[in-house]
Amino acid sequence: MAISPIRFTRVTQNLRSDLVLRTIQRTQRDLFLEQSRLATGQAFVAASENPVAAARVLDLTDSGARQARFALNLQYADNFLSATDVSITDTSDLIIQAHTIASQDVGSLISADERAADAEIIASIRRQLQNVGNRQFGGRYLFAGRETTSLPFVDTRDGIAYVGDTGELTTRAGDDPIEPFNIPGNLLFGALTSRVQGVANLSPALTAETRLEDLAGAAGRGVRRGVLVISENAGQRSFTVDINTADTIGDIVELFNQAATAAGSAVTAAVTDQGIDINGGSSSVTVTDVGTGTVAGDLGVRTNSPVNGVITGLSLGPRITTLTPLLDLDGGNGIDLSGGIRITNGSQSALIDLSEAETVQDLLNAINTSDVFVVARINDAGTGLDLINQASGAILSVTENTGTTALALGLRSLHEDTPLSSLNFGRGITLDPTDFDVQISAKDGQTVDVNLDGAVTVGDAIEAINDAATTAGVNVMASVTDDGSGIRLEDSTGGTGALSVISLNQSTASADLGFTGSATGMVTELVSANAAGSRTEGVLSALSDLEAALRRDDTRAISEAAERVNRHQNEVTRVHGVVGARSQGMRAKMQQMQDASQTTEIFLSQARDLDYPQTVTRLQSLQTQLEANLQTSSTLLNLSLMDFLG
Amino acid sequence: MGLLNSALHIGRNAILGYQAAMEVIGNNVSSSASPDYTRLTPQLDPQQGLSLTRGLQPGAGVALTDIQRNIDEALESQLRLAVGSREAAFARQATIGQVEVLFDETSGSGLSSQIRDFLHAFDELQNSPEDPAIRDLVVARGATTAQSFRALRDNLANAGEAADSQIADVVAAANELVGELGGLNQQITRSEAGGAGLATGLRDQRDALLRDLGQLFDVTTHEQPNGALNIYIGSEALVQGSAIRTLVAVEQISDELARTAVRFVDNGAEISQPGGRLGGLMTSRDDLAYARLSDVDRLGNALIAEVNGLHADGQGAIGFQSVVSSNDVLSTGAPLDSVEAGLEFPPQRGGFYITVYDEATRTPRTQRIDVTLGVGASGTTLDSLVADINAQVTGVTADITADQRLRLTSADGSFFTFGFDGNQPRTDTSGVLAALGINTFFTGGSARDIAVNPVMESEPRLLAAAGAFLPGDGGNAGRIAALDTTSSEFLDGISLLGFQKNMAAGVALDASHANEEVDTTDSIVASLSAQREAVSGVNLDEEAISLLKFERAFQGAARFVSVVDDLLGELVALVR
Repeated sequence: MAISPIRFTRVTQNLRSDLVLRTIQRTQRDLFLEQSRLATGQAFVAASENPVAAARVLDLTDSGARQARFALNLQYADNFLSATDVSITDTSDLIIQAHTIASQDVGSLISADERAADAEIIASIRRQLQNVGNRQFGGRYLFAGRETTSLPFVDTRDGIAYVGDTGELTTRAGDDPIEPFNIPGNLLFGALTSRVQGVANLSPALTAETRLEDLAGAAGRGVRRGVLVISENAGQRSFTVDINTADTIGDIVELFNQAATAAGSAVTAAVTDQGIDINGGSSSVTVTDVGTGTVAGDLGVRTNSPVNGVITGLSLGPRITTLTPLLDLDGGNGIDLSGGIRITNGSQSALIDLSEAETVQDLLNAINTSDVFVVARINDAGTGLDLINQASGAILSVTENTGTTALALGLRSLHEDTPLSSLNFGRGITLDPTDFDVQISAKDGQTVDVNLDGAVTVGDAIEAINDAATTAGVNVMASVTDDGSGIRLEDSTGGTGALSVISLNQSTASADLGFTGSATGMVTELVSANAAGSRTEGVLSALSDLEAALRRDDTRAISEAAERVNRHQNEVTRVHGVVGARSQGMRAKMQQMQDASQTTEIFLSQARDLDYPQTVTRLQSLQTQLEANLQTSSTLLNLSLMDFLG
Repeated sequence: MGLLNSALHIGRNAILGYQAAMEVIGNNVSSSASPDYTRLTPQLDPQQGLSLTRGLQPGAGVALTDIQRNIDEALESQLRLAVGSREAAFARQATIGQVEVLFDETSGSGLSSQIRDFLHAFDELQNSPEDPAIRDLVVARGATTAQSFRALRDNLANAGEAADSQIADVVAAANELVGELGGLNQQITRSEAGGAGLATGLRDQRDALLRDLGQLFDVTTHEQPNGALNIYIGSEALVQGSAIRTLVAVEQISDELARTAVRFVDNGAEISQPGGRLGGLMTSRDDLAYARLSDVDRLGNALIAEVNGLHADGQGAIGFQSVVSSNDVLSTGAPLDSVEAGLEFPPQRGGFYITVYDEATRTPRTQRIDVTLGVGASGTTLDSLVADINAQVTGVTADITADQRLRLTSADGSFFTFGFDGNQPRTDTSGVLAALGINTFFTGGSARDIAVNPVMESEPRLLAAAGAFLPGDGGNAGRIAALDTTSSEFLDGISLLGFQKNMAAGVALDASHANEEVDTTDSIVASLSAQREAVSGVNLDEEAISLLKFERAFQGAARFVSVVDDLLGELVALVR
């Protein structure tokens, strides 16, 4: 920019002095700016000096701050993981020690007294493991999930229970990723692996009041808001339906019908018991989304080509929530809860009275406050209920009180559809592959040989027994007991001997089905033990069994427990690996953040910091300019013809 | 003798003319340093003389017939406008200079740093939600951020009001100038009446005053045949001959901000877009200070809405036993999304979850409260909301306080939370909790009144770090922390920090533009001033030459008179 114009016809005194004044002011201002930059070390003192560079500095400062924040988050998470790693190492050492003892005690050279002594050591190891599980980091219990302020592993009548949470502690490690950095105790010790998974699909019926947030959606991704496009008769008429303000399925239908009416269309929408139907009347209708929208697909009404008549929407999968009325479960059929259920966990048992329950939450609360270390929750799919056993070493079973409530809820441990493979903690039953498996001796002395080959469920086994009895002409009948606590054998032979069941050949099916002992005298009924109970398959449970086996001097049980301890050692090793991998991932990300931060600093320096040589050179140049200006001005301003008038 | 007398007359004329010309030159030299002075040029014209023999007319010498003002009226007008533009630029530069300091984000102490530090405190909370010190830190950072918002807004208001307060001074100065201009018009008209010649000094004074007036606002002029100058602002006459109109600064307050208007006293007509310093002050106030203030308000509004929206869905380390909404409604019977309800953030159709816990067993009992707004609904009011809660939620009593706020109170031995149904996190799809200010972090609706909710300040354990009401759960805090990059629907999809960054960059650009505008207008003024100097300014060397020229001519005329005198002497000697 020119200081002043250079094309003059006349140069006056004022013009000269003005020029000198302005150029000196400008040079002095530039000198001041350079001086300020040198004093601050920054390329610009105010953002307005270089708005583009200032905006870049803001970007880089923001990036740098976030990188620093993420690095701090990762540092914290890594520290937590390091403490976890140490504890898992200790856990691993203790389990190896227990396994070594168990392996030694399987041998025949060990006396009962020595095994009893080792049982004390195992008890000590179990206690030490509990202590490891209750370790803290920065005042937080390491293995308590998000329940960080309460002891996660507590003593119970039957052993140790994990009462912590199963969730993850997370931190931000980037703009999007959320990093988990803890291992809940249930994963470390397998403390909650026993789960009674409800077998019944209790999904509620869809109604106009069903909220969108409680739907799985036709595509399993919920129902996301958006805009539907309805086109009739190859585009002769079309209208859009904005469902962004909808809260329930009924709202969507109402919005749809309002939009159709406003467009002069006779197309209507209606709620069915599974989704939404769209009736095009005499029109052929296509339903699509706007752009990359998903709402038509989520509602299961998207059409690839025109449809005449009714578009039947796909099932929207209403999910069970804590607020779902129990009457709405099972597709609206409701569940009869009048009988209640009985939960037995180890030596503790509770009768759960559900007669007052109205919602799923009431049901969950009734179970969760039963003080038998059992947690009930809605399954991940939102279609049923699960029971989780918190207590290691205790066997959990659910039976009826009166009625069939447990069965209807899908929680009963034993029923006709119970897979045989799930009995005995998943070991199933052992059959002779080529011959009979069990023999039933009736009270009249007759016997029935039963081949259980091909039986898949408890019902199949019962049917095989009854068929064999009928074929043999023996009046013995098997069934599941009314409360689901076992398999009942009824003898109608009129004999007075003993009713009993034994295994044949290579089979152990009798014991595996829970039949022990016999019914004698006037007793005509033999009921098996409940073989469908479940136990926590964790290391604490295995150690508990090992300790008991050592005290009993039971080498077979010691061997089995040793096997389980070894299996859990492998699991702990796997978890250790997970922790290591996470820690490694954290450190790698931290390194990346530090590298990125360093790069950001370099860019920031380039954008913000002063180029000293350039600035000093410019300063020098300005000084020279000022001196020259002063010198020439003082000379020229003094020259005048007036001086020569005489 | 007649011829000799005529010759003496020629000499006399020339002597008088050159003497007057030298006086003009002397005036030029004497006034050469005055920037308002207009150079004068003496006009010496030959005079008609007596006829000699055969009708020959040698003339009667020269005489000063006119004194020319070397002025280019069009250039003067341009210069006046340019000076006005420069004054406007100065005013804008002064205001944006104040604003720029407030948005100094490069030093790491600006608002964006405060917001970032506040949001990143939620990262700490996510990492250690059990730590009371971290909860105190979040509250403290929130308070600092809120205070920074309020301070920034106040300072922007001050910057705007500083510009506004100068408008009255400008009007006072303008009225004084207008009065003087009217007086000068009268003097010039009187002085130049009957062709008495130009009143150059008075015209110089009037031009100088006009330039001063042009600094204050843009004016146009029209000179009348009698020498008076009519002056206009837009189409409104300000001075007509000796008649003048007075302006008045009318103080006005809108949105609690001073916006002084300038009107004519006689008819109340408002001067809009006046240009000059007045225009610069008005645009500085409105476009540079108050507009940024609106942006800061919008950012504050978005921060409150985003943080509160998430916070209302979370749970603290403890639950509530009683809570009063931080926002009141104007009418408890009006739908909550209506203007009559007067909520800053109107709720929408949806619902929220209240979970009541037994203190001893921590057994949850959850209820969803529907908010029926839109889609042809009758519309949830505060009255109906209270009724719904009382009817549906066991263990919580709702009522309305005397100042029309919602109060929730738990029964003895219980407490309540929001946003978790005992099994999974639940969003308040209606936004009514945030709208009413229940379980929210901030109070207020913009930068003007943003503050940390006193409920959170007094009990930081209520900070909603959790999404599943567990002591180690920092999931909700993490979601709030992520607002540093999350796009905001309240800011047209721009994140909070992105908006602040854009605002700071915008201020830097405005300041840069203002600086360039000052340089540009100053250069234009310099250029036009130089052109004016070229036309109207005094060059001493030129004047010295003219002085020499007229001195020599004077000497010649005097010598001629001396020769004629000698001739007359010779003739007189013949008589003896």
